[in-house]
Amino acid sequence: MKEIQYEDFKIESPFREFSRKFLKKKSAVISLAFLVFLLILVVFQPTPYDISAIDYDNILCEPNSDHLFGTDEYGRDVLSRIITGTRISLSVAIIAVTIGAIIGSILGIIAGYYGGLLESLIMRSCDVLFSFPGLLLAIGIVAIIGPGLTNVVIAISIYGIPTFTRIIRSSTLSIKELLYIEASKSIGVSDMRLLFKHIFPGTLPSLIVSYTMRMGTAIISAASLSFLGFGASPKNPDWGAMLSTGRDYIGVAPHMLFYPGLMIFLTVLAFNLLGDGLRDTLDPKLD
Amino acid sequence: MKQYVLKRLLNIIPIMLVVSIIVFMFIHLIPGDPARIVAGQKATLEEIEIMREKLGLNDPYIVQYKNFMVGVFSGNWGTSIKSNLPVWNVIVPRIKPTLILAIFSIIWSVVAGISMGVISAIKRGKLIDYIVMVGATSGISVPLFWLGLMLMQIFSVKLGWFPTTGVDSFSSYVLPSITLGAGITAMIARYTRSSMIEILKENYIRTSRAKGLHEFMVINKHALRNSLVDVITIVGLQFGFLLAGSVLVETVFAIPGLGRLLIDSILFRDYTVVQTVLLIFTFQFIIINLIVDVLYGIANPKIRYE
Amino acid sequence: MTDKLLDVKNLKTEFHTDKGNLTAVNDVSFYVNNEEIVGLVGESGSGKSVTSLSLLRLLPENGEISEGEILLEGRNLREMNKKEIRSIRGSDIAIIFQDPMSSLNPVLRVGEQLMECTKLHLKYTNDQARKHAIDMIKRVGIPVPEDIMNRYPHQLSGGMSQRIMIAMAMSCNPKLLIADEPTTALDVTIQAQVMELMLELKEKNKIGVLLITHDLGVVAEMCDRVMVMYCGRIVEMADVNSLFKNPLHPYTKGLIASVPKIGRNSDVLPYISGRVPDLSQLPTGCKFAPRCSLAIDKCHIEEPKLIYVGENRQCRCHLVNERGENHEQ
Repeated sequence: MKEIQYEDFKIESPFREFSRKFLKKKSAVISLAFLVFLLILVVFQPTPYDISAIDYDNILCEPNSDHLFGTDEYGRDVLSRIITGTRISLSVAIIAVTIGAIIGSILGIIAGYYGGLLESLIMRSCDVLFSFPGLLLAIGIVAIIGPGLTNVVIAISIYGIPTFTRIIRSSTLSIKELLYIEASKSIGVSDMRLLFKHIFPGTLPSLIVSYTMRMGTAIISAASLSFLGFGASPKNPDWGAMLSTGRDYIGVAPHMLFYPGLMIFLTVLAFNLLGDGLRDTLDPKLD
Repeated sequence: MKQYVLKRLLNIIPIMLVVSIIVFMFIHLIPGDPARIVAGQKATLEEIEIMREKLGLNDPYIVQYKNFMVGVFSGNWGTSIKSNLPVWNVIVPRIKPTLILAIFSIIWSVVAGISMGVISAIKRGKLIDYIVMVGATSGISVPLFWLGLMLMQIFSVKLGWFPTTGVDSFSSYVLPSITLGAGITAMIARYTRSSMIEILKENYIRTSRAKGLHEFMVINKHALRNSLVDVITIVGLQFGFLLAGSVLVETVFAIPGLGRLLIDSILFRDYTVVQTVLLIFTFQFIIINLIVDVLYGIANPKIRYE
Repeated sequence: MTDKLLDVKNLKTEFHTDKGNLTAVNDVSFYVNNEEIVGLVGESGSGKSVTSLSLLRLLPENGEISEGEILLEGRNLREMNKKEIRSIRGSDIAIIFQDPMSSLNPVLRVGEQLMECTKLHLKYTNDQARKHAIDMIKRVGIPVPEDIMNRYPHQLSGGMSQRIMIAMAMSCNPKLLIADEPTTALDVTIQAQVMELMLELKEKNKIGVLLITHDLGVVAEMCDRVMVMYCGRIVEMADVNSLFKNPLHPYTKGLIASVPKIGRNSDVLPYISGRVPDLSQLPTGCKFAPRCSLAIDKCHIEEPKLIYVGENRQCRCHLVNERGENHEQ
């Protein structure tokens, strides 16, 4: 029998396969590059001007060579404020989504793995949270605990929990069905080990994709809350707060509206495109 | 089918119960004494005590909840803290603008979203697919309020085609509905596209082609009907987006609707109004989802004939 | 030879994938006469279904017929425009697919789907089409046709669905019926009934049938001639009797040997070792060589040609060729 030497199928390592597929998704690669660029802005804060330097000679300046994105109602440089705002907006989103992801995943894994009454309880609670449509849940929470950046983070975290719970539960369920779990269970592995060694890694693709997608939602939600007056105070160079202020100058200084909004749009777009790319590459069964 | 509808109904009753309890608890969850909040900052202790009695805050929670729910269903929604008018009178005039806005938005976004999704799926990998998908991903990424402000800047301020704010005429609703519908259109387009792509791979599509049917019939009769069964569910979910979005859009365009009322009431700490508007929004959302589930059952023969 | 109903010459079908172009069907030539059932046999992945889809140009988007001719009564289907090929589909050539349950549209009533064909090709009115559909349901042996017309596919059993598919295929009186594994998804008892029905319809309507299957039992019972496919190539063609009595190609021998026979006293069922190679990693010589117990060095280096080894009999094997090379035409 000579079949063996003719049947050596080449098997790629998972990482190489991932990067080969991922690099083909141009939009996802560009998005990733843009997000890395934002990260550099966050770390080094290369602001051309002091963000709180008031300059009454240059109030509401159109974009020009001195002030690329123009100036605001106090003559402060809009570009510098946007760069500083990157730090606020991204950290709000990252903290909120991470908290939501951790709590949501734990609940999701518990619900999916243990089932029974616990599962019903968790999933019905999610249904209740989901019946507050969209951002309304976050608005309601802020209404209770009051405005401010910290409270916005709390509201958005809670707002994200049920989404993660549902996704992680369904992927836990499908992994549980897989044979290898059956096999390792019969050998007598403890529940904890099973959860961390087998189930959690299996849910990772879904988790990564929904985390990325959720970042976009969180940034928009935070900006929306700020815009409505519940988030960062207008003194802070938060993107949403800048838009809220800029709204009063529509028609007079449209650049105050245009650039902060564009930043939000591009950042969210980048997260969504990256999420799409990751989903196509990692191919988790999302439903 | 009857069983299916019954099951859905039974499903939402406990959810509505819990939601109503949460909304009822709202006034108790706010830090501080509700009676003091309602009576106002300058109220004397005596006034607060009278308010406490008036609001029934001395009753056990269960009695308070019962009174609250009886009030909700009999139209006795309490008194607005801000205006001292019955909440009913504050809310009812706000319903119409929100309703018009929602209906306009959902109609155009369903029509546009499904058409875009179908075209994109058929022309998969072509330039038009690329354009539609870039548009759709942008649609879900753009902050609604910013889109609204930009449209206002261009079409109202610069070109003067539409009024910037208010609801004086039909044309006042054009920009707000475009804004509110943009994200939903994008969601529906993305979902329709992926559903159509999956369905076009199905064996029965091959069968219909093997019959010699024109591609137009294959798409519109055989594929789209199956896809609509799926798309119905996503449209239901989008209503949530619509309600939350109306809060933002009404703020941008200064439309005196329920969403704007909610924000104003929160900022003014008019908690009786906040409570009622939240309850209206959530119940509306739950009921719309029930209707969507039933429609899904009707559209899907597997459920209809069971 | 003018009596050839379908004459396929040098058909080559390729798929454009991210692994490059894969040739699923390579240099396949065969014909089907009127009132003849021709079997196309092979393991899954051998290119049988792709061949059948190529005939009606129903390939998925990334598939393409890159070479060859498909002649139906002398007209080349490959060169037809979209409108012309549509007028062939369902009227001159009808096709029955493997999985009847998923081949019917779940949201349309059975009657609606049955009537579509005659309304389209024979320009029947609603009433005519309905009558004809009811008639067809009776002919495929389902009682209470009026009731069936109003049902949805999920309310039918597998056997009933396949009968409906056959009724649908036969409703415009096609000249050629392609049956792609028509019984694979069905219970054994239903299989026999469906096969019986197909034989009956073939006799009555005097049509040619291309029967695609991996089941040699079905072939022995139904077919007049048989082609054996492997890796997108025809490796042997013969009339049904000679093939079973005297299989030439080692692959055919293996296939026939691996059919369980009642009364054979053996604990082990012979089988062909290994599996069908992936299209992207085909061996250079004879595609079957890696699995062939008789392979010689030449088999791994040079691909054998399909040559005539007798009247109406072809084989693609170096070992056979060396014995009968005089028959080459």
